Amino acid sequence: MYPAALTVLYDENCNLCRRSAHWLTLQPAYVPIEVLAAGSPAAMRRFGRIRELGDELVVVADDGRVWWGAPDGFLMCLWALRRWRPWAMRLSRRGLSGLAAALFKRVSTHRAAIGAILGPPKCEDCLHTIDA
Amino acid sequence: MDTTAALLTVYVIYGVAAVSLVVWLARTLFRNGEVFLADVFDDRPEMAHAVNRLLVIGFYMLNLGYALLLLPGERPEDSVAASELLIRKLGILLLSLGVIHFVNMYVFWKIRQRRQIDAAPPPVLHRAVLADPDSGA
Repeated sequence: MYPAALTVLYDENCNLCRRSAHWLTLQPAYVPIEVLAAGSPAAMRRFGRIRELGDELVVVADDGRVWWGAPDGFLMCLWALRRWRPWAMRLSRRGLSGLAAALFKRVSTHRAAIGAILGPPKCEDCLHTIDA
Repeated sequence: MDTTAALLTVYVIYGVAAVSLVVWLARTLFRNGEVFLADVFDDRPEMAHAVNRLLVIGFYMLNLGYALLLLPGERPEDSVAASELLIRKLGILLLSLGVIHFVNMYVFWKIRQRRQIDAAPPPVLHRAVLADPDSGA
């Protein structure tokens, strides 16, 4: 089954997540990707039923399938991108999947600290595109 | 006189061997490439056929041209030198054909891999399904 569109719900209180969300919108993708701040009213209205919303990276397909957390949410984001799908497949295979899970879990757990080092996104116009 | 005759024999044998090798390889490539490409372009059989034809035409041009370029060279002194020359030239030709054949296989494999990646389903299983997905914003 091949989703026709993805919605990515990210933690808007984390600079790493906001930067990544912006990056995501700029990449050539196989399916349209909508990024949405997890705490935004639109996200609450449409996906408030998902308990992990805000705590974990959540990806929702247009057909209702939901992925969340590390590495699932991260791998789904990579899968949607033309340049990164080979990596999504590689990192989900046996052998590398453990390593990928550990890496993404670590990034997810320490996202606030990493974001604090990176600072907020430097672009002018991206703030309203990713925080809409 | 003897040298010229020997050289001529070398040329004729080389020419026949080179052309039949290239034709045989190209036909093999065409037959098996068709099966392979039909699998890659399973939704567009005419595309598979066209890609296969173009690849084989390229294969013919490249290899025949190369085989002909290899032909002229030194003049053998006697028939022993002539047969050595023939064997060396055929060896070089076969090696080059082998290399080009593997490049061809690599191209096939690359096309197939690209198509597989484009059609790959999500790598991880979803954790839940929303009853009424509201994707419209």
